[in-house]
Amino acid sequence: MESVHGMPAEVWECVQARFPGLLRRDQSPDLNDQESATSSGAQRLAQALSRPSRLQHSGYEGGLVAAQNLLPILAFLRDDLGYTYLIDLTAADYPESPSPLPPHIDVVYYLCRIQSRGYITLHVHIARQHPRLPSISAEFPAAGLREREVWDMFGVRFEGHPDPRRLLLWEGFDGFPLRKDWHEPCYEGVHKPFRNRFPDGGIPASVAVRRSSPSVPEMSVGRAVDSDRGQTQRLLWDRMASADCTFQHHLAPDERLLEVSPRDFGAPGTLRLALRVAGETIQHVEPVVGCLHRGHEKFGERNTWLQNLAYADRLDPIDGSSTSLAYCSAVERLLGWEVPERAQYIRVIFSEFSRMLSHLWVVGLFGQELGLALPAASEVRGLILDLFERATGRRRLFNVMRPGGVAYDLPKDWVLRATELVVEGLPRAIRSVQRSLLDNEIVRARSVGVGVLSSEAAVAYGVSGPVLRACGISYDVRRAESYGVYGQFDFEVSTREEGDTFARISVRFDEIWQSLRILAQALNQLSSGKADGRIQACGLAPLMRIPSGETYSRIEAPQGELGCYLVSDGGANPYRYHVRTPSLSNLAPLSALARGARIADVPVILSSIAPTQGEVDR
Amino acid sequence: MYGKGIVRTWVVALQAFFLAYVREMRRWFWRPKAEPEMRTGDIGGPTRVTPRCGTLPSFVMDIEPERLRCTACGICTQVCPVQCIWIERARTPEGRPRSYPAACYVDVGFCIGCGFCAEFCPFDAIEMSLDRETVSFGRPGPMNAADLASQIF
Repeated sequence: MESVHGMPAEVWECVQARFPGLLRRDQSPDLNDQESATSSGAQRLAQALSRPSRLQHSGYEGGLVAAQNLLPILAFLRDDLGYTYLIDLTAADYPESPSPLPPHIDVVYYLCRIQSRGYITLHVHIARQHPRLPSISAEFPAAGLREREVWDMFGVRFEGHPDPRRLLLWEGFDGFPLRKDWHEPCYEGVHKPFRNRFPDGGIPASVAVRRSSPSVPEMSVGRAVDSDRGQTQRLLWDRMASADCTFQHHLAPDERLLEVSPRDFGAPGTLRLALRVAGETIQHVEPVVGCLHRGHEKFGERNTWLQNLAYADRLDPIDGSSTSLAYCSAVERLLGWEVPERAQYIRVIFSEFSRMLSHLWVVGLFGQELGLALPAASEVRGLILDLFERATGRRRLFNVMRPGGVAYDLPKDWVLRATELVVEGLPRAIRSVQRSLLDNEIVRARSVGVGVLSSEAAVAYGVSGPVLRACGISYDVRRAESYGVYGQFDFEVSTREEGDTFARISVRFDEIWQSLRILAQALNQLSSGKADGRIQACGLAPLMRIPSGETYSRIEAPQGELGCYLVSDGGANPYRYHVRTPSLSNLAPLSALARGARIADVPVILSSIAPTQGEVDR
Repeated sequence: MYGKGIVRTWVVALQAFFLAYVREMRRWFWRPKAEPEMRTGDIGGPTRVTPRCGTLPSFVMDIEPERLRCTACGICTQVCPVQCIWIERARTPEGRPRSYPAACYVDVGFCIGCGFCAEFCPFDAIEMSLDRETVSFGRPGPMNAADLASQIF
């Protein structure tokens, strides 16, 4: 864990030199909404924040910025210091903050530099009533979707946002769900374990009990459903008519709107697309996400630290272990735990096999969208899934990562079998898949030069993973952070220069080969007995409390950079649980990719980005 | 030569197509001496059971003495992410708690099969099992929740 978290010292000094007095660790920002914040509240906030303890935990520190200074500081960081890549933008609600702080919402910005280690963190505190912030989506287009999400979940208005609709929920939804005082329908308690659901005894039948129990209040969400779906649709059409358009709010004579209903559209899960087409040519694509929204982050606050592990993998069921790995490393950072070396190797093995699973799924889907069924891709997946089944008993949702290590050791002859597969079986099978897909002239004709993303646009839109590396940017969190034992392995960050659909698929094949390289080294070191020992140094107890703090951990998931933002208030549950999912960021440039292409190219482009809808909607 | 890749794709697909038949024929004519390896997902029930491959938790019944091994400590109800386990502690007529359950249920309508209950049970009184049939071939007709529950439990 030698990576730099939070704010590196030299960046502090640069910002201090450029903006004397604007950004201090002990700065007292004023609330930007004076009418609701009483002066005593602002004073109390000022007093509280003059102590630097709030934002400096072990291994984590962030700069506290006043709302009116946000834009100049971000512009300085981007233009002069090269922090062009906005990793994440999220928020946390503090209605009853620790002692002297008045209620506020904490908006967090994470930025990093391509080609350098570490990232910086900026916090902005704003009042809870009518919170407003300047939108940064003009400077960082990556913030567009994230700001919509923060508006949706916390009710923070971003002034100047080009598309200020809700992201996951519908217009007119009652309340802002991730605020602490919002309760979901069928609300049972602030956190688990809940009281007994069946106090009267008898045989509980889930459906009947959930409906009839007096502890369940009326569905509070249902009120808004019928009347406001029309408003959502109207706003979507307004957006479709006005985006990337010369005529404001008018379609050109030859243009029309086309809705592609929720379906498996080159992506696992349900994604609805709204297209504006002129004849066959795409003018604008708007992904309408939220069909699969299931309140993952709200559940994360209800769950205990342990229970979240069971939900984490379900974000992206195609690869089995990435989200829980990010969550585990964040929890370890909060607790200051070290992971035994053997567990680190097992984690690497699992995540690299998961990467291959996910990439093979994507190339199989890609072929399917082109009308080229690739049963070989799923056969190769089957070989890896057999291995996983031997080790964990399951073929998906392995539930193997634990804070402090892994849950199970590998079975006896597992390493031998896996080595055989990695050295012999998989390369042959993957080469066959690769040649039959990438050498096919029809595939090349459909994908070369389609959906080109320039490298500057890729960084600005905040895409990550294979989509970013297909644009010629060699950025990989495994290298940038070298978390775990990735620093010990010899592998290359594979890139392509073209940035088109074909490059995104080829980069995935290149990464499969690099994964095989890493796996061969890791399995070799495991079998040579170099990493024997315990697999779990210490484990989470069922109702364990975690010292209060705040952390952000990043890993390289198959789809891209996956971050986990955790805030603990010292209790047995996360105070705030946020996952930066790569699929949502990768959807951001969809319209820029598809503009000018034909309708039939949209599924091809989309399947090369391959957003997992479970991750997009959460 | 243009079109070579297309032909190769066809050849690969044809290969896979015929190999599937060849494998099936082999299974018919040259029956292997050992039991064929089947996976847990195969129709007809699992024949090769890997450790931890169970899908639903069930309470272990000891043979001697013949009773549930559960001591009603309630750890499984604390770790369950969906809170689908319900254990009611038995009491003496005077109201003192006993160390076995009066009733214990798993609401499989909620269960997500994460396996935490079996992992954290200090007495190994819950294990993930494959014994329950969650799918049937028949068509039971319209069912309400109570019917469903009576079939499952």
